[in-house]
Amino acid sequence: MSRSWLYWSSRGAVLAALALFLGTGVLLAQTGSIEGTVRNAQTASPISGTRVSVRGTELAATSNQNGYYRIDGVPVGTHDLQAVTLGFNAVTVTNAVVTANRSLTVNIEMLPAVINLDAVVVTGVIGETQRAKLAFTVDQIKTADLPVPQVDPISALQGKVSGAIVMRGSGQPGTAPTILLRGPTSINASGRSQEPLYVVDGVILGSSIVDLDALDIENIEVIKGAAAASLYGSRAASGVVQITTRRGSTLAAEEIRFTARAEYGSNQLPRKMPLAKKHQFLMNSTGTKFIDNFGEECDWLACPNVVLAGQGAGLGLADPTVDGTANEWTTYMNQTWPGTTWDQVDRFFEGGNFGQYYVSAEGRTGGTNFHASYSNLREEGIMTGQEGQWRNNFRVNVDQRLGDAFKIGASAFYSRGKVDNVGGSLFGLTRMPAGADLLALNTCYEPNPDDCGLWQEPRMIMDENGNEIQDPKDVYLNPDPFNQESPNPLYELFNIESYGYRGRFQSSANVRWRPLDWLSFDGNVSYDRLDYKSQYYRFKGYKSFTDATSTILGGMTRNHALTEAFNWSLDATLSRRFGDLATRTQFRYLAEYDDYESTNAGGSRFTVGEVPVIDNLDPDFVTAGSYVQAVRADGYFGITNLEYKERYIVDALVRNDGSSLFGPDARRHWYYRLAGAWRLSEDLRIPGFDELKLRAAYGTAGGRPSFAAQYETYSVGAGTVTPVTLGNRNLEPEYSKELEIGTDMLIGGMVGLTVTYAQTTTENQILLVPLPAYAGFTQQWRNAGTLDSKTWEAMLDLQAIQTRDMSWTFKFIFDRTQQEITELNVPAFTYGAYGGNSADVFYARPGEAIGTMYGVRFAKSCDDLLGQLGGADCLVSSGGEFEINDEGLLVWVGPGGSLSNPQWGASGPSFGFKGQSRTLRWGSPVRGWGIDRVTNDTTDFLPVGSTVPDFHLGFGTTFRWKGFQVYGLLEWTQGFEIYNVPAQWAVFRNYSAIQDQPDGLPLEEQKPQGYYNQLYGLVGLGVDNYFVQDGSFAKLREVSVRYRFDRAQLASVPLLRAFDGIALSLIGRNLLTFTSYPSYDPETGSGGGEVGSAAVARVDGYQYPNFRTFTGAIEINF
Amino acid sequence: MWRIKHAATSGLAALLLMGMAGCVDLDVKNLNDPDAERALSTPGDVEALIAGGFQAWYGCLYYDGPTMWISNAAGEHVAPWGNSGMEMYARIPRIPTSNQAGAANVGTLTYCWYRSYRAIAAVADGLKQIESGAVDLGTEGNLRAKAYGRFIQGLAHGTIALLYDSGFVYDESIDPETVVLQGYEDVMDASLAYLQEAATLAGTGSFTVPSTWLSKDVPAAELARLAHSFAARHRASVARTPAQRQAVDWAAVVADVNAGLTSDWDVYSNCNQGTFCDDAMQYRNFYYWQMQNNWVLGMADTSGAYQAWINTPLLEKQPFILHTPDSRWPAGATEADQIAVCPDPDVFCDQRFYMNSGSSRSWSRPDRGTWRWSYYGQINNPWWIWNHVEGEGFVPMVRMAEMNGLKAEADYYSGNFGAVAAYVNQTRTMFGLLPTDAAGLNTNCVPKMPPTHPTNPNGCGDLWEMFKWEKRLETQFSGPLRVGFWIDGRGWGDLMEGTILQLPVPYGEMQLLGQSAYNYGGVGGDWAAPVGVYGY
Repeated sequence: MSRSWLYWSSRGAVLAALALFLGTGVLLAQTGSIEGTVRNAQTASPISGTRVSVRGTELAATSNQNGYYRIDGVPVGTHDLQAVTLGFNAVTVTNAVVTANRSLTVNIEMLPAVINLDAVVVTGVIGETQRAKLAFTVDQIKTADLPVPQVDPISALQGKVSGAIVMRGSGQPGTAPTILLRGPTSINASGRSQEPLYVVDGVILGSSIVDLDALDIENIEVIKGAAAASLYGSRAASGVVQITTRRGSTLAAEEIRFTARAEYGSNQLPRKMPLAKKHQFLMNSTGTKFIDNFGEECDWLACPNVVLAGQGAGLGLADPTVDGTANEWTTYMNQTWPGTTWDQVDRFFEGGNFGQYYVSAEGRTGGTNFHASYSNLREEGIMTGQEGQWRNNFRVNVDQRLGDAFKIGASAFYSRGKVDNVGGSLFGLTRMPAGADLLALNTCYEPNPDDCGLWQEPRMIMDENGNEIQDPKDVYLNPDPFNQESPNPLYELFNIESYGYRGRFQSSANVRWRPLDWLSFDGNVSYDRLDYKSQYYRFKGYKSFTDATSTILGGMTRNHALTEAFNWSLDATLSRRFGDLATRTQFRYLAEYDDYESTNAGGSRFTVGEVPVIDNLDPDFVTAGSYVQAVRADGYFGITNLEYKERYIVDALVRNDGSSLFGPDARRHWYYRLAGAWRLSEDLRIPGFDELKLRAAYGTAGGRPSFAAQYETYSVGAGTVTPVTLGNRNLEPEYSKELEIGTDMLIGGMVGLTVTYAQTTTENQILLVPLPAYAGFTQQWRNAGTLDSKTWEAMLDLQAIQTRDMSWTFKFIFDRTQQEITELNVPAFTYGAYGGNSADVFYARPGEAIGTMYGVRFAKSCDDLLGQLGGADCLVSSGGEFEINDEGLLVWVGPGGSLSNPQWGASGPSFGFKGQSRTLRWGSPVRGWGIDRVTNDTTDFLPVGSTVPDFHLGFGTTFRWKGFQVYGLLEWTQGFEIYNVPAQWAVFRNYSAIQDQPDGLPLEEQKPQGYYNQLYGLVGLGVDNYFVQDGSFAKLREVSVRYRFDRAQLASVPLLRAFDGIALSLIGRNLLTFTSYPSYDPETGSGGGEVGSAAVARVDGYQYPNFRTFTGAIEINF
Repeated sequence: MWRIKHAATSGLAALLLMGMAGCVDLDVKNLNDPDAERALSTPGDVEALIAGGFQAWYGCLYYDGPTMWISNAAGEHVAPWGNSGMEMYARIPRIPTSNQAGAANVGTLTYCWYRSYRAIAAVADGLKQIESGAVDLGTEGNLRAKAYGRFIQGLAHGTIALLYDSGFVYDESIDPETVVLQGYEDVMDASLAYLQEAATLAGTGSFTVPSTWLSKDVPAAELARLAHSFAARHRASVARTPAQRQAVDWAAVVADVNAGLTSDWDVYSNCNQGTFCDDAMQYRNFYYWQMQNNWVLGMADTSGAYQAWINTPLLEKQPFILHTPDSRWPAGATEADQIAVCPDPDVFCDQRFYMNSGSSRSWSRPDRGTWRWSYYGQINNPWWIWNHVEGEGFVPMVRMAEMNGLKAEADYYSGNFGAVAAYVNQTRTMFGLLPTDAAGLNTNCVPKMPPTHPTNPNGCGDLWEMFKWEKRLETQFSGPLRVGFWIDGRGWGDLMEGTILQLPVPYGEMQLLGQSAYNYGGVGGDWAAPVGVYGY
């Protein structure tokens, strides 16, 4: 049994203290001061918030509103100063000579920067490093880049970081988006994920980042590949996202700033899934009643059955619509519902409110800076009657300088949230007839009330006046009496109670001791804890048209999961300058303790009603379970950075990681990086180029297996032991090796361009490899393959206008990632996309591109007939028997036939291979065949689409005129496909809008039910190229219109003169989506499963749609 | 000097940092599932591993497996739903399997394969430990484990042979590296050998197999009889065609029947606790999941409605009320009359097998074929009550009606028609039908042949048809793998044209072997039934 994190934390703390206090007796030296003013070189206006630091020391100051700064206690001698602030190129002032007890004046002028190469980053490097001196890419998002605050930090990256696909597979409030950095690094991510490593204020997160509040963020840094992420070793193959929250350190000395912000608006469904508005059933001559199979007239809900419109003749009735032939080929979905029809999607997605309230205080005084904030978020989402998420966040960050040598910092964050987990039956929604009122209350529609089911009995409650009324939530359960699978989805929304409760606590403490000006020690301790509880409750008396006892007597489950991550680290950093050579070297030891445990209990059949406790359940129907896992890891590394004349940069590191996720003989692994950059523009004066840098980096990073992967486990359940997964104690990490080359340039002070090419090879893919059935264990984890990845990324910043009163900037990002399995040491196998009809749609074999979905292809050209039935000349126009219909499908029309001369129902020859022959039907789709490119076999398991986009673009612009600012962000993802499961099921159920025949269309141009039956029936609910549909989209992600009244404007208003500024904003999120994808939202996918990311498993599996949010906000600073 | 001092102390600190490497204990145990070492190290754990074999195999009967769709395709019941391939593989005309990754309902083709081999592997792992002497359960314990293990090996291999065209033969004595696909006949031979050994071993023991193994306590002698009964079932059921069925070693079948069970053998199913949960049976409690197939069971009708229904074009068929002297069906001229006979689905209707489901019924939309519509649901099993209400109870595994039916079938092939008539009359006369004789007198004309019958259109069933009728009704949902209509139907030539006769090896297994997947069934397809004896 491993020791607890508490043991190790205490041991770590002792060691940290020991290391930090090894040296004592820092000698006092004579000092002086440096002061001055920081100004805009173009406008001469003062720049506040600029951090001016004495290089090689902890000494620094931040300019105030007048641009003034002052640094006291500067040791006598010659120093270099560095001035850094957002939006301006950093400035280094060399050879500032400080004398004892004197103040040296150093005024600094800074040039605005559209591409902030000189901003400081801290991720993947030794301490603070200017971007201009990076030998690899570190993307950075600052507060100013976030004019539209998102409810979580990762959504804030959408469309802003090249090489990052950020998407919400599900829009359900409280769920986190998924992020892929330069594509997945694992072919199979079962039990783990493709997500990057998240670090927040030094806390390595142990669970989702969703609880954090984007309003607290000061800086987000993203490193995307192994080259940059090597520093993070065996957890970093998928990249690293490091977030720094506000600490008050950028404020001027002795300044305290308060901020109050309120935002309120609404959530709305922006697009709909089209459902059928018509039906295919026989009606009476006036179109007011349906006809049952006895020829009797009936209302929809009271019909014992209905018959197809084409079946009228079969009942001996006059058929109002067709010629009397009774079959599916003479039935068209062109009948109008009697009475009122409803748009069920509108009723299901009513829309809810959005509100966020935020207050913060931050300040800097003496050696202390701090930030404290509170926020309250309420996001109801869009489903009718659902509460969405509610969240309260608290944060306190404090830094304290102790003398010149010590600095301590601490952060604490607590979040408490509640999420309505009733995702709503989107499955059921696609099966609701347009003519049924989903809000009608339960009642008996049978001719004979004695025949009514229990589920039709009204649920009575007392109103506020003590009168008995029917519960308004008791909506009619079965609006489609010919469907026993899908109850009214509003009934579930109204009557199920299911909530998740999150309690998140994060804290970290940092100590820095700099005993010498070239040597410092850092200690960090961090803790992340998530308490997640959930409860599902179905009251006693809940309705089920199956009258299933365990349903109608109610039930409940309670789950509790505790996730803890405790980490501590010690660093030693040496910074020396040898003439023109500046060196920084760091050594670190890091220990990680991750623990997870969960318990659950639940059951059904309450003894008494309205008492939702486990004890109230029938003991015979109660089950319970538990799970526990611990992961231990440590690592140490050495990294050195060399800068010669600030233009030749070399960076090298080596790291060793150990993890309990590997077997005893495979635990420790080495990672390394070598990177270099040449600031060409420092050597060669190229006209127009303010900065031109070439860089290259080669590095390695790892991917860990899931907890259970090393264990050869049997399953214990129901009193028996059975084999489950054959583990592997010899698993090696997935090993990513990345070469990244690129250039960063700043042209004419107006245009910034960064271009990067990255080529990654991830070997030792940890795959769940199928085993022969007789092995008992059906799969085994093995290192069995190699995945190659190539990424192009570009980021262009353009400053079109920059004056004192006006600015207009543009930002473009572009990326394209292509990935291929280049090696597989086991027989080829298929694996699955989770969600909807979960199925093995991906192929693991050499030469296969990641994201290629396989399935059945409806023939679209004669090539799909493989030389049969006329081969290349199969079209009627070439003497064949086929035509291409208006859906682009190859359909059989017979010799000399024509789509303009309908012969619905006529049969043709059989076509197919390998025992899969099927009879061709006139005018209907044909199952296509092809040749497998690897085996050369004839097959109907063929590529039908790709979930990986051809390219991804982001376009943002900000226009500012005095206090007025307009901002917009458009994201465009082009050239990928989605498996549209709801559309396929809707066709199966005859509720798809594509089956509605347009009004006024001549009957001979309409398609009968038989056509759609073929469309579904040739494949069933499997993957095919008809329902794998183009998902390309452009989305107006963020829009804000803002006006800020500054202090001068407010000074004339008595009540407002105390404020520094008031900003009023109109904000839109996900305002518009441009796409041909015929459903709610093309930004959809299924998380988890084998693929491990919704961005790869683009299966529309009835996920909660993403929604539009439109709000107004006010922010007050004082 | 101070600089030197501090450089030294700082260097020491750096060395200390590096020295911490490895101070985290990286040994972590998986406390959730027992790993191989633990599962195979103690006698109790090895015994538990072997004991799980029956439960693992039992999963074959689950809803996810072939039970539901094969039952549909063979006319043992009708359900129009897309679930579990029921709609897909019961289409008319029948379509071939889609044995490929990503295909709709492909899991139903593969489910029983993996369940059976999971049981085989668990038993092999456990017995290997015993055989090697790594664990010792004591003389009687070792004997019990081996007898039970052989029974499971016979059961599971037999299941593979009944369903698939080929399979692996594997046990603790076989080197995994030498295992190859073999034809179903070889797999069945192995199954019979295992069952024979199980019976022999059990016959020498005095142990009792505990309830956690087989859902109820089973004495050694009963285990031996059980093995014989399964052997009888397997011998007869493996035939794919009438010719093969008639060529079965019926003497061996009869011998196994005679050495087998003497009364019905049930499994105690507890879906609340998840032990031996018969979820397919649960679904069959609902009329819209389990209606009666008019093609097959409509033969009860003597009013002519069945013949009219058969003659109606497929897409125009509407359900009809059965009028029959067979009292297993509800009597009454109208639907209301028949509902009144048995109005409450939650209680048994005296001696009746079927009820008119009335308002409990919900027909699917006509788009899926009104030929699937039926007024009737089967209620002839105690699980109706317990599953509907309590979720646990006994479900039939082997019924004497099946065993006696095998003997009667052997008698038929050997020309002992009197014995066949005796079998028929045993139940026929219980339900209001007049007895038959060795000549096949069918006074009540139940069953009545469809108009499509090639030699006896609209005629009264002969002795053979009466035999089949009684066996169908008496063993519905309790036959081999709960698909007795299919097993018998392929051997009797009864299945509808295009109905699959055996399953292909799952595509995943073919991928491992580096071979292409293939398909069976569908009109004109390989291993697809020709037009059956009833003419459809």
